[in-house]
Amino acid sequence: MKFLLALCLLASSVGIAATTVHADELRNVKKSGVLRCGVMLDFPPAGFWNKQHEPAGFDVDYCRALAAALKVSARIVETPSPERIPALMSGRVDVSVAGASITAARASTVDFSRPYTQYPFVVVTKQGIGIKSFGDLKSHRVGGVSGTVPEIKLKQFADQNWDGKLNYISYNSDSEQNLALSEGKIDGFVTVITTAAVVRSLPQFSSFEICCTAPFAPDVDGLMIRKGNAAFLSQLNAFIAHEIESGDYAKLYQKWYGLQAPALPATAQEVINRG
Amino acid sequence: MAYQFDWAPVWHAIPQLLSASLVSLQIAALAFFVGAVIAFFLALGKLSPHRLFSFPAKAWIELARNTPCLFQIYMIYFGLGALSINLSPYVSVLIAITFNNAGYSAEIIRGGLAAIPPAQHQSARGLGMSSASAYMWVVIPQLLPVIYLPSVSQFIWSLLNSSLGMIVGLNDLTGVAYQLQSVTFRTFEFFAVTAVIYYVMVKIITTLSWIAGLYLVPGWSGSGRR
Repeated sequence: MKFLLALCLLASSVGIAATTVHADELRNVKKSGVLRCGVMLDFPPAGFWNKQHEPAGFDVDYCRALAAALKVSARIVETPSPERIPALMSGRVDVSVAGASITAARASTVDFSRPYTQYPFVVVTKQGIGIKSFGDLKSHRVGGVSGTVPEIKLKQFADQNWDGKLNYISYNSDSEQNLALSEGKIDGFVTVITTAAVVRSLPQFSSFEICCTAPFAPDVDGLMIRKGNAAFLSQLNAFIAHEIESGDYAKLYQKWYGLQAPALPATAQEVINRG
Repeated sequence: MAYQFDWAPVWHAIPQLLSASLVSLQIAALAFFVGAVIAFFLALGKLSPHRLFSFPAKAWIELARNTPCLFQIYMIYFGLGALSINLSPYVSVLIAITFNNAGYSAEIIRGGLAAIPPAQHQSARGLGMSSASAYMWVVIPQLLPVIYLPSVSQFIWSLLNSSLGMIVGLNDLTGVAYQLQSVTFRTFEFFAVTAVIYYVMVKIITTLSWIAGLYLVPGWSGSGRR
């Protein structure tokens, strides 16, 4: 009888210990002194390997700032796009700082922080053409790649707002679209900010400039952590709020994307509700 | 799991596809007729003993026949663009197909001319005709029955090769079909219907050409050496 009682006490204490460990991810990180971030390093300029073969990019800097705020050191763990959630769930990383779009489907597996960055669509043009805002595209020649999201959204926008008036040529690939802009066959095209930043950094397209954002719904992203870590989640949200208010988010955005940082929605739930 | 066919997006797009095929036909026709006139002079140039004429003619024919049509279109659209000469997709494809056509047709005409005894031209000159008149009234009427069927197939070639224009964003039948399938993801359905439209166009053209040939081509009786 006594032996049975002892066994029960032992089992329940192990159970309690387990739940304690599981519910205190933040404490584990602080105890180990290392924050392991899952970052995509094949997605410039959010994350990539620089010439000295070190991780660099917006997400890498963000992870390091987060680790500094938690008073631990940062370890960057490379997680390509399909690996982001599996690495988190298997415990290989503590937090995923990898430009994950906030969706309802993902939210059923992981917890999202409030939005920490967003990838808007932007207009890429060449110096000297004089396109200063998205509306200027109405009176210029626009190019794009067949069947892509920017093309679909551009045509929809023109149908709804410009009476369908759009001088548009559809090319077969990004490289032809870029060549057309550099040769002056088109005056501008619309693409996502990450692609735009990379194209502009290439030497043969040094005359390109990113003029402005396009009024298409952007891709809003959050940090991801395992479910059931409320303390960790509120700490992340507090950190992100601080980044935005102190202007560090804006500085980082300007540094990596060369554009004024867009205003972010306040909660992940808003983004999920928006669909 | 087998591919699920969904033809509805294609049926909705038929009017668009048909008006785009008019663009294809336009380019083929213009490229063929302008190319044919150029080809005649290229053939004569190649046969000429003077290097001033034979060298450019040979160069044109060699280049047109020995490089891919796709490459020619690309060069005229993007290649000239690098030299700041910016032509629209329509004009670029037209020039490229004309260039290509002229080269092939020149060889057809040269072969046809070889089938006509030189005595024909010489006798015409002997009767007091100028060289141009001799060609116009004696040589060419004998040339036409020989080159007619190869020329029709050259026209078909121009029509089918105009489909390469999609590479520079031309809105011909293939260009429009490609754009529509990339948005609806109904690749197989769109390409199948496009192939059928091309086939029907070609069949109509060959039948009409055969009938027209009976009336317009002197001395042709409906059969011929190809």
